[in-house]
Amino acid sequence: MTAHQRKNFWRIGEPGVWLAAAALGLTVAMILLFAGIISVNAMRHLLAPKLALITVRDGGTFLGVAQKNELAPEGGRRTQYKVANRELNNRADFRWLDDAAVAAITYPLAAALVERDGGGDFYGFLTGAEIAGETRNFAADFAGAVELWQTTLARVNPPIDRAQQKLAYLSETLRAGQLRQLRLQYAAHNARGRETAQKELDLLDAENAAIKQASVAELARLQALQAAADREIFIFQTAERQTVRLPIRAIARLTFPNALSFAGRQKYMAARAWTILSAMPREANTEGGVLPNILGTVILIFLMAISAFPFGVIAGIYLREYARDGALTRLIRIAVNNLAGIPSIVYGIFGLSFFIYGIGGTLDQILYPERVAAGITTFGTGGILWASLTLGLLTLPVVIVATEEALGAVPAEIRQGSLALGATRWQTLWRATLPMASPGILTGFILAIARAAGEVAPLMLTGVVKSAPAMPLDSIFPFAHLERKFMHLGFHIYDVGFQSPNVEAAKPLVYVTALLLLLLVFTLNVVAIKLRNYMRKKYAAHAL
Amino acid sequence: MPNLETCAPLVVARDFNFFYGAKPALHQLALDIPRGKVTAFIGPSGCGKSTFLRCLNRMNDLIDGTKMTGSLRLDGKEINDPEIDVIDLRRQVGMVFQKPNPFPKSIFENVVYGLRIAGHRNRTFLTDACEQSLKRAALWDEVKDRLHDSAFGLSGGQHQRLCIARAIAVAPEIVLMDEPCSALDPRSTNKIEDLINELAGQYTIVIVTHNMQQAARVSDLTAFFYEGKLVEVGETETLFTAPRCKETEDYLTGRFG
Repeated sequence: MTAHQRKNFWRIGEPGVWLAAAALGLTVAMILLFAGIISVNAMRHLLAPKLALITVRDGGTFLGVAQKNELAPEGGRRTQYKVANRELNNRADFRWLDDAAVAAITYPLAAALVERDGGGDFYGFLTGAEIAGETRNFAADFAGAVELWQTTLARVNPPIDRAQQKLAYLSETLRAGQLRQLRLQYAAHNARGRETAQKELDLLDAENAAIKQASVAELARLQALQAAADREIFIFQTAERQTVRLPIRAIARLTFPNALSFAGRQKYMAARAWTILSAMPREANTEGGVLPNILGTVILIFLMAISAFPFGVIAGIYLREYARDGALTRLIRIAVNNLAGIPSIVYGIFGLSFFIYGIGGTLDQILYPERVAAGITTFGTGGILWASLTLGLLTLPVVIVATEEALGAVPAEIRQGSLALGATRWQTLWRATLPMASPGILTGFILAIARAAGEVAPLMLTGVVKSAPAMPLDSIFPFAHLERKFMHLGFHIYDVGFQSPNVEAAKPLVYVTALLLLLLVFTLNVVAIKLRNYMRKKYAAHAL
Repeated sequence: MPNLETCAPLVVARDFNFFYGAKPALHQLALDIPRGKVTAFIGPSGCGKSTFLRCLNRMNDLIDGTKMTGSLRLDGKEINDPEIDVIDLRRQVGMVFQKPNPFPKSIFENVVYGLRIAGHRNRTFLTDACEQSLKRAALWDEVKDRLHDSAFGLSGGQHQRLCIARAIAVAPEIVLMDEPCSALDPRSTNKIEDLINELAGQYTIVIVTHNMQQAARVSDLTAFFYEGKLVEVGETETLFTAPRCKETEDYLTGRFG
């Protein structure tokens, strides 16, 4: 390197370029690593496992799925197997075994993987069945066994589902009746209208009693149906030669993973993925699907969007187009920028004190004084409405800033051109400025939404729960129950990953949930980019 | 100048002053702008010619702290009257800006923008008005097949002619042009100048320009501004060939400015 080159090296800014490139590379690598780790771990939850029959050197066999292999503390390597069959293994799902202690590993085609509604997975060999009073034996008819399980389920489940739905409806109606009763009792205490209230109360009493009776009858019918269904049984033998009888109704999925063809494996994966998207969580959220979480998140985002967007845009328009540039405006601008930097948990505190205790408590006092007297809260407790308003507040400053900046980027010539044609400020804003600013406004808005979609901290104070008894949307009037508590993908990660009784078993689901959340944010960002490109083409300001 | 005196002036300024805050920008202006003629304002940058142009449709209202004193009348009505409806005034006074500023809309919507905001809804009326204006602006043949495409697809010169069409669509009494060709190439400039010559009989046009040849080519009357004062005004030919004031002569011969 000559002196001239050395001088140029610094003047051209070569190290700066390298540094910038390195920073970019690091960023890309981190994104790939991030998405990769989550995707790979999530996929493990979906893939069909290989069910191994392990013979141990000192005698004894067991069925297990190898999880990970590591250096044992006392030398050599050891493997962690998922052995399932919790009730037979002292409630443990996993077993460590030194590789040296393994005599043989085979993958028997007949090994069955049973996902159960309760008690975790079960590994064993299907030996027979008692269906409709008949005893049957299975040799190696895997397809036949799966089909028998499906047809039997299709026969016994629908009446049970119907009875359960009816029972749920009755209990919901009874709850509504009891709340009305409470209201009437409260009214009866007041002198005015005491007699009519009393009359109605008597009627309601009779009604409620009838519903209660119907519920009891329905419950008895349901129990009878369930008892009958529980006589349809599959008989399994564990690797340790213990016989286990499982009611067909308790089997959520029956698979013979080692016998699966390539297509069968794909189908298994698709079915697992579909379960996650469409099913309710089971076993303290560690199994089953995340449907209520997805729904809760989507409804939350939707409500947040429709609460934050109009306010933010209107405030931004006012600040940029109408407010006089004085000390007050500057103060407001500083306040807005500071709001954007406040930790989200502080918003949670604000939501709790202002929305829930303040507005919700007052609403309860006005609408349901009788419930307040009885210690029942309706709006005065966390719910999806308050949570979305809190998140809306969190996105508001970002929307205001985005709107202001987008309006500021519209060339002054456009405004003047419109005004010079005799347009009012409002017409100019509505017909010329706002259309040109809309790509910027929308992009900022969607990015703000994507940011808030993953917020968990404020939700924990404003109504998210690990298991909501009912969803915010259902078939019972008035269909949208915005005062209800809800479940959320982000909170699910925290809950399943760190609060569940069996963290090790729940780990794959944590990754799956994280992947879903990632996909949600990714989708929102892609929509934002597409929208921006489309609107830019339509209202391209830089084409001038 | 016999032919100028026979026309009743459209704009009459007397003792007109304009201030940006405390800073005076125009000083004791007295000027008549005749009807149906092209008047050019020339002068060095910052001499107040654009400021005066913007007083005619009160565009200076957009700037905080501006003040006008004295009399400025358009067709007998006082522009500086606080009671006057600025919206109405701006409909009578069309304006074409230095930088073409089409709206993010179709060509058609750009032309009928002024009519739409004035409340015209009739489709036939708007279509006719659009065609008329585009024909007058000599743009019709180039865009008649793509009226509903985005106006941004046009070239710079076409943009400016579109802005002229937009300004004349609302049938103003006077069209102000603030250096309309300064952002255009010579061919587009030629076209705009031809257009101004064609429009000359139908509209009163006031054009601000830094291009002396342009002023000579298109205007009937030229006013020379210098440091916020109107130094000299007269028939273009006379002013260019035999200026009365020394400042005008210096400016025209390029000794300053």
